[in-house]
Amino acid sequence: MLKQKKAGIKLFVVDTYALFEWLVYNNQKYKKYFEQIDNEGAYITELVLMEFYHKIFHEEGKEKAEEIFHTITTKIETIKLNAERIKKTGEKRSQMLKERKKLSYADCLNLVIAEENKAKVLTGDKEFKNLKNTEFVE
Amino acid sequence: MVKEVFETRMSSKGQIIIVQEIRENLGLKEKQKFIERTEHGKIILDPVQDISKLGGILKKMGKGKKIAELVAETKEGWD
Repeated sequence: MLKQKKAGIKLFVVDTYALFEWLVYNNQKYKKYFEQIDNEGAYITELVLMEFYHKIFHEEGKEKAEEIFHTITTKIETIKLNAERIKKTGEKRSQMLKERKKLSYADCLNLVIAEENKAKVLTGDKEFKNLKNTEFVE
Repeated sequence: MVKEVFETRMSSKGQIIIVQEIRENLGLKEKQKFIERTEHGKIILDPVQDISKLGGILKKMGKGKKIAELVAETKEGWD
């Protein structure tokens, strides 16, 4: 369910899965989330940006990749890595592996950034189902 | 013939009018947001697209593939 937060506070950390669902598959369940993101912003990590840019570049070429990269980074705040986030991401991945969850480094960083900002990872990736700090779109 | 160069002036509040011909050519509507920057002494106004209006813009990438496959291909470098 969509919630409203105070002005200036962003609600979501956008995952690669959510970007694919909307920009590639036009999944209408995501429309309301991206409308909210257009108005209130969101967070995206450098790792998600990197893998998303790579995939578009590889499949569609530099021009399209540049266009989408520009649109995303003007609407969504890019979160950079730092020492604390690197350590927390490593610890999070260890915790997830022990819980038999197969999350990538980029996925774990998303969870760390969501916890840090009291936001939720926007995704439909089944590995996130029932995890805290996740807005899971079925 | 479409005129390519237009003259405009800045008000005391720093406001500049984008002429109707450019607005129509670029499909700019009221409340359109821009990224404003300078480059070599020129002012660049870059229209910001709404992500919510781009649903399916990359549909070619998903042709014949389920999302799980696309995500797996994208993330395989991390494994």
